[in-house]
This record gives sequence, C-alpha cells and structure tokens, in this order.
Amino acid sequence: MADIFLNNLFLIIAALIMAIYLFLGIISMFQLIDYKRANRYTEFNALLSSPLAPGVTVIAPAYNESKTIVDNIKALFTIQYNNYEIILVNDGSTDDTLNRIIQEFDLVETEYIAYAALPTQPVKGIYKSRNQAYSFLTVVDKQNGGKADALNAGINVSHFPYFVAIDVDSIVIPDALQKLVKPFLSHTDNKTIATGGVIRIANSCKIENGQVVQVNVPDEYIARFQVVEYLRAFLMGRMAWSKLNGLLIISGALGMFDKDIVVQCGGYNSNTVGEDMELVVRMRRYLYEQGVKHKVEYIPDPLCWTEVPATHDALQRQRNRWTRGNMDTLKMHRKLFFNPKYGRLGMLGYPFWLFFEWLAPLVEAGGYVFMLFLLMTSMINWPVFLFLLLFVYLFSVSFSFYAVLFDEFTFHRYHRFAHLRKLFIIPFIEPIVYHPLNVYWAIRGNISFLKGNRKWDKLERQGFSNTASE
Amino acid sequence: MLRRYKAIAVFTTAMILLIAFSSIVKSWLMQKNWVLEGNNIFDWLHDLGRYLMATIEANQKQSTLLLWLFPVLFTALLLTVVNIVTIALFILLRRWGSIRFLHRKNEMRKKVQASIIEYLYGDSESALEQMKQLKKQMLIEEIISLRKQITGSQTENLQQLFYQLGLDTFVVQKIKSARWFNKVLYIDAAQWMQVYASFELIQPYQYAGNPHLRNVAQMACVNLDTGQAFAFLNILDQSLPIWHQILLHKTMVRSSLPLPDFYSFLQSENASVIVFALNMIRLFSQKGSKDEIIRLVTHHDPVVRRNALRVVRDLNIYEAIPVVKQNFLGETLRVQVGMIQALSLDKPQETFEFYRNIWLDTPRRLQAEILKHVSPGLQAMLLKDMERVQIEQKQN
Repeated sequence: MADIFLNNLFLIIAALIMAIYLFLGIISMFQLIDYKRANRYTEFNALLSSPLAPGVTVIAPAYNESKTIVDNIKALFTIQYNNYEIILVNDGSTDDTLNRIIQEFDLVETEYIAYAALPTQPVKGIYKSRNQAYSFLTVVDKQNGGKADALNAGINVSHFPYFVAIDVDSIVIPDALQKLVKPFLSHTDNKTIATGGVIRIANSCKIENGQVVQVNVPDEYIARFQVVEYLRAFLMGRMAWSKLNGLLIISGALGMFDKDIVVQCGGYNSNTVGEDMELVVRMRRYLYEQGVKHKVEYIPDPLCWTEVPATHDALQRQRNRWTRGNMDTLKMHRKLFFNPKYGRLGMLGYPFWLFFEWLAPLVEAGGYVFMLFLLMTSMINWPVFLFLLLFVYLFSVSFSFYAVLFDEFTFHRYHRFAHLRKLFIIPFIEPIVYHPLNVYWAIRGNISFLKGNRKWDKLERQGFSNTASE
Repeated sequence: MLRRYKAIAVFTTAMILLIAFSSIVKSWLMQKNWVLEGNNIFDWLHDLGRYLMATIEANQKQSTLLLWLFPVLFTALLLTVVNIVTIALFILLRRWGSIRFLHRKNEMRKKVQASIIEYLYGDSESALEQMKQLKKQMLIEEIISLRKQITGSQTENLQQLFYQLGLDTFVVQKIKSARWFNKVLYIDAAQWMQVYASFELIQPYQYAGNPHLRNVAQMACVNLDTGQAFAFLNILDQSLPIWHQILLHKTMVRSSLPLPDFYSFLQSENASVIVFALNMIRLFSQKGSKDEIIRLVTHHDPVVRRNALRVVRDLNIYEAIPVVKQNFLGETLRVQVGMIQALSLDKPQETFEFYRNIWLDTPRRLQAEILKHVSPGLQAMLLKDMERVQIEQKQN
C-alpha cells in the first residue's frame, strides 16, 4: 500500500514540476518577445546626454584581488553613463590590493564626510585620485567584514540615488547602466526597486581591454554545463518571475538598487552567505508592509560576463554556499509563506522557491532512495520504470533546448556552428552527469547549514586570458 | 483580456491539446489494427505503447493513477522527442538561413545607402529611380537611421527624398497597423520626417495604455503640432515617467521647438506633469511666476517638492528661502537635501545661523548631509562650531 502511495506521490510531484516549468517557459517566451519589441528602437543613449538622467554609484567590493584589481578597475572605466561614480571597497585585503590601486591611480587619503547609515566594520580610510581623469573613482579601505559589509560601506559613501552592486572581476558591458536604470525611470504604477540583467559565462571567451571581444563556449565541460544552466535560469526562470512580479533574487554579480529603500531596510545582511537574495526579499517584505506597490525587474540583455567555477571542487563549494544562502533567507523570512499580506511574493515567489529550489533536490534524493528500495525488494516494474525515466530525461533535454532556442531568438551570443555543436550535446549529458551532482551538492549544503556553517568560501578564479580558445 | 493572460491561454490550450491528442493516442493503442500499419517506426511505437499499457494493467501493484496518466505521458514523450528534433533543426536552419538572410540584407542595405548618398551628393534623378525599385521598409529604416545622425541642410534633402519616394503615404498606412510595435516604428518615422498628414491619426495614441506607444506618440505630436504642442499634458491622467520626460526634452532640444509656457502646467492635478513642467522650467531657465514655484515647495507630493527646490536653486528664487527654512525640519531626507542645496542661495552667515539654531534638533544623518552639501567655507564654520559645542558639553 505504502509503495503505491509513494508511487503516486512522486508521479504527481513530477507532473506538477513539469507543468509549472512549462508554464514559466511560456511566460518567459512572451516576456522576451515583448522586451525585444519594446526596446528595438529605444534610444538608451538619450541617458548619456540628458540632464534628467539620475546619478548611479557602482560599488565593487574587493578582497585579495591584487593580481587583477588594476585591470578590473580599468574595465569598469568602459562603462558609458552620464553621471556615475565608482566606489571600490577594499575589504581588509591581506595582500597588496590597496597599494596597487594607490600607485596605479595616484590616490591620496582624503577627508570625507559620510554618515554611516548602515553599520559596518571600521573604515580605515577613503582615497581619491589626484588625477582629474579618475575623479569618479573613490576607494574605501576598511577592516574585513565580508562582501555584504563591504557593500554597506560603499552605500554609506555613495552620492547617488541608485547603486549597482557588482563583483569586481565581472565584465560589465559598456551600456549596462543605461539598460539597468531604465526600468527605474519608466515605472508608472509600481515603483521599481531593483533590476538585474542576464549574467553570461566568460570562461574561454576572448577578453581585450576589459571587454569580451569574442564569445566562446567554455572548453571545460563543467563550465559548459553552466552555460545551459544559466540560459535556463535567466532566460526561462527569472524572466517569468519578473513578469509575475515574484522575483526573490537579483544576482550578486550585477544588480541595481534604489538606495533609499535599501538603507531603510538596513542594507545588506552580513550574517548570511546569501546576502543578494536576502536583501531583495527584505526590501520587498518591507514595501509590502508599508503598502508600497513595487516591482523587481529582470532584463534579458546580457549585461555582465563572469567567470564560473571550472573545477569540480570550486563548483561544489559555490553550490553549497548557494544552498545555505537560500535556506538562510527562507528561514529568516518564513513569515512570508503563503501569507496573502505579502501578495505575489508570499503566495507565489516564496512557496515556489521553498518547494522548487530548496525542497526539490531533497525530494529528488528521496526518489532515488525509494528507487533503490524498490530495486532491493525486487518490486520494480522495469518497463514502466524505464519509460518514466526516459520521459523525465527527455523533458529535461527539451527544456534545455528551449533555453538555447530563446537565446538564438533573442541575443544570439553563440553565433558559430561550432558553438551550436557544443551546446547541443550538453542537454543530453547534463541530466545524467551534472544534475545528480547538483542534487548531491544541494544535500551537502543542507547538511552544512544544519551544522551551522556560515562561511562564504571565496571562489578562486582562474582569471581571464586574452587569448580565446578556438 | 486575452493579451494580458496570453501565457495562461497558451498553457491551457497546450494542456487541452495534449489531453485531446492523448485520447487519440489511447484509442490508437487500444486498436490491434490501424491505418498506418506496416510502417516500421509507427509499428514499433504502437507495439511499445501496447506493451507498456498491458504491463501496467497486468501489474496489480501499479497505481490506477499511472494507468490513467499513461496515454498522456506516452503522448507527451512522443511530443517531447518531436520537440527536441524540431528545435534543433529549427535552430540550425535559422542559423543557416539567417547567415544568408543577413548577407542579403547587408547587400541590400549597402545598395540603399549608396543610392541615398548618390541622391544627396550626385545624380539625384537616377538614384531616385533606382530607389523606387527597392523595399519601402528598408528605405524608411535607412533614411530614418541617417536622419538621426545628421543635422544641417542635408536633412531637408533627405526629407524631400522621403516624400518623393511616397514613403509618407506608406507610413500613414502602416500607422494603422494592428500591431503596436509597427505603430511605434512608423510613428517614429512620421515624427522624424514631419509627416503632418499622420498627426490626426497619431493624436489618440498620446493617451494609449501601452507606454511605448504613448511615449512615441507624445513625441511625434510635440514635433508635428504647430499650435498646441504640449496640449496633451492638460488632459493626461496617466503618469509621465522620467524616461518619457527625458525623451520629450531630447526631442525639444533636437528639433529646436518653440517652448510653451511651462508655468501653465504647474496647476495640473497630475504630479508627474508638474514635475515635467518644473524640469523644463529649470532646464530652459524659463521665467515666470515665482509664487507658483514657491507654492510647490510645500506641495503634498515629495517628488514635486524636490523638483520645485531645484528650480528655486537654479533660477535663484530668493523669495522661497523663508518657506524653505520654515519647513526644513518636518521634511523627508531627500527633500531636505534639496532644501540644503536651495539654501546655498542665502547669505553664508544667515545660513550658518539657521543651521546652528536647528543643529541640536537635527538627526546625525541630516547633519552629515548638511556638511556634505554646503560650501567649503560654510562647512568649515559649522565644523568649528561643532567642536566648540563639544568642548562646552565636555566642560559641563
């Protein structure tokens, strides 16, 4: 009796998951089409000359980035915007990160009046350049407190009403700020409080002067899997949630925020490893409690390129951290769960995240255990089992193919036939190799969380090379 | 309604079709003999389906749910395979096709561009004849693209070319298109090429629900209406976002349009219209009733107050200073920052006295904002005074 019940349960869950993903895929498709049509002739560069364009602060925390920091900052100079400042926060680096910046940009410690609206570790000094060409660069040197703390220090020093939080080693495309700021300026009924853009994978791409000049599919399989994974997550998942106004996360690699609201909510939370998600949830929760109509918007344009973990170990640590951050945020904001007071956030976004992002790997692992039990007790109906397995596998493959199709139709970044050949293979291998690993890492993340692990585990990047693989 | 819930409509339709199709598949599987019998692949699928169904039925322990769902799952599996193959083929064909299409389009574009240059700087008659053979949409795209990049006398020649090719009537026809994004494209063209005949057609779209269409229509009407270019602001009940304001401002500057009396919009009930009028008054330094501006310093909407304060500062409306000082402490932080900037108009000594009097009632964050935004001289005076107060407090 119990096995029939479990059979039915897993069947219903699987069918429900597939139906929901299908639905989200359809919403994303319409959202992408609408975005392309609406912005086909948009004069984003109107922001470059308009005195009405708001100022934007770019905040980039850095910790022990000595080798690449100068190039990273120079890459930020390629940003095209009318009125912006860059605040680099040296988060207590133990190497010579600060010295290298001081020397390269001719910085001097300066008197600076700023009210610490957000509590942070002590600031040791604020530096500005003597060279007028770098007048928009400010460097904050502070004691180590983690990424969230560094971002809060940057917010305290910032001048402008909007800020962009970025990973210093990400490659931001020149018009990223124009595209990110537009939703803040275009809103009518719902106030835009945060925007994010699609993050693309820069492994094996050719980089010159801080810009991606040749896009390639990564050489390493582990990074290649993530290409399809990111396409699915951004073009099919977040686009749909943006349309449904149920977004819970803006990627830490690149996101723009309304500073006033962030400050009112208390800024980034230094006590969680999922500070990017936690901030968005807290902002939204706060605004629901204040009765302010608002939205968090995702832009399908690839605005930022980042290096993803290319080794098993690095990826495992990243996923472990993501799971812990996820659990932490869900736990902190459990009040939202099916709470109609929090609108779509409480009734849609939060439950989805709970069931599909946190619980789904656990349920899936439960399914594997159940399958093992059936195997050991010889209760498995092989033909039916293989049929269902094939169905789930092919559904997963087709979903990934849709993600590649969406990219092809919209931004078309992988334009060579060789890219397609590589991308077409991934959906077939991914469910067998990569997906089970993800489930395993998610379970380990759960265990780490329960053990009280709150470590950030900095991702060690290999750095971009100037020569792309062919 | 259907547009709003199109995703739900598509999803529901897909589910209905899946169930309908699965009932056909089920009846196909139930039959021993069927129409396409003899085809290897179909026979194999048919046998597989029948075998699986029989296995589920035979197994006592198998749930009835699976039995019921099987035709749906089997159909979905078939469709998924078809889907994967179709998408892969589609991407490949599209890639192949798009390379050829782009190549052809680029060739065509070069041809159009060469003809336009020939028209502007060479033999205009033959170039015109040549262009009459080309696709109108591409001609419009190229002419508008060029028009956006040039200024001076050639713009008139370009406009003349546009009319000689009969593109004005084509544009008017296309504005009637049912698709909003086509309307946007051709309204923009009408705006750039001064197609006055399209004005009546465009006018209603100034109040359209679609913000993109509304915005481009507003810009077009500002350009095309020789009389009351900004009349739409009097009846606009939708919000005029900053993005639209930026584009309207750009249009005015680009086309050197005669400015309306923006003070006349300051009475509007639509706060976004007031903000726009204030911005334009500030950017064009338009002179008018100072009392109107001072009144808006105490408007109920903080965004209006903030923008009114910018006008006070930029247009040197000294008369507003007493009102600013009077309302300073009760304001929101962002407005207070605007007030601090507006108070820079006042004499330094008087501003210093004002800040000194309110200093102890001022939260630390606001104190920091004051120090950040005042002139260096005033900042030094305030810091010195703070030191004095601290010393006095320690002594007491």
